[in-house]
Amino acid sequence: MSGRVRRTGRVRDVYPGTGDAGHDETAVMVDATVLVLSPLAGVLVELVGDDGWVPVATVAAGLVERFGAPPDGDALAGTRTALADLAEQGVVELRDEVAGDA
Amino acid sequence: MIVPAGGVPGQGPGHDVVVAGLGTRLGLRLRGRHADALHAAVGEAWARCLVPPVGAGDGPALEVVLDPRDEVVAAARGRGATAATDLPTLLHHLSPAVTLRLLEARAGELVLLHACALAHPTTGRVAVLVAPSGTGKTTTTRTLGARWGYLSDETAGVDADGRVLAYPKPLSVIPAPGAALKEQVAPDALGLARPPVAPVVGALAVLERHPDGPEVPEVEEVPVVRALAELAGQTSSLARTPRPLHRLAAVVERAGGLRRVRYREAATLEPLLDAWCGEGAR
Repeated sequence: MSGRVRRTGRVRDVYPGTGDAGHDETAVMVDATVLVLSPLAGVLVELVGDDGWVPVATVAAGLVERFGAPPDGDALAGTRTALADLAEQGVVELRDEVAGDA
Repeated sequence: MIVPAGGVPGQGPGHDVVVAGLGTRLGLRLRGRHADALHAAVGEAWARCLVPPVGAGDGPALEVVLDPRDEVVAAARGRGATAATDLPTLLHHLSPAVTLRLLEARAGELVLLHACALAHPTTGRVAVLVAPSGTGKTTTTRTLGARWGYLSDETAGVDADGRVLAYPKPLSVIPAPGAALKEQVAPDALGLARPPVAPVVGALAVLERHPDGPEVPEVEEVPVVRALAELAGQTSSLARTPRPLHRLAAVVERAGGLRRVRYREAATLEPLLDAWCGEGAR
């Protein structure tokens, strides 16, 4: 039971950096505020996408694919923590699994 | 051109004029017992924005009332007019009233930056210099504007093709330290140059003026993502623009990036602006 995540309707736009050194942050506009996201958070937002609810486990797998497994081996827990930070900023919202989720 | 028009019942005759800025138009209905004095003052201070009326294409109108009677002014304000009993106060309030309506009219269409905009006299490339109110835009405009074409001392509107749309309003000048009212001074009275046709973005900088700042300006290049965060707070209605960060980033890219400039005296900025916007620029 890892839950699901989606981008909130408050996100107006996402502008990723080029990925080059010093240009690997991502800008995201939530309402009228522009946040600067770390490279990791930027990848999280990219993996969440904007097509509705996605399993947190899928996002965690995408992170492992990009960055490798975390030292403690619990990618899912780390992903949930990082997503919770983004949720506090209004970038994403989380929910538990509900009946009908595949 | 200023065209007299019929008055409002009970207020005597008035004058209707049209101002243009940011690529749009706004009618001003000048009314009240002292409408003639108001008409003359607006005609002088707003001369570079005045355009001939075209009728239905003049867009919305703002009622502006100069009248010595408090009850007339109160009633005018009650119906949404900009009104005052004396001319300096009215002109002080008129400038932001016009600006707000022009900004509202172009919200979602232009990138609207709180910036002065000065066009290089031969290339037409525009230096868009962003700064919060009271931190150097008007001073820079006055200092460099005899040579650089004056587009605005307050709001730079940039369209999707990188063109900077002029808003040559009167300069809002603080006549003395601590003065409550800003004086509205015509660009012509300050000898400001007129811009070339079709000015386009050439440089974009955030100004940081300090009395003890460096004698030679210090320039720092700001990565695009950081630039978006820094500039967003100096825009109007950015969130109403489709793909707002991409639109703003396009302006940054056209300008060759965002620079942060720390300086002491506005005159020392000119060599930088020449390098960024002059004949030798990109």
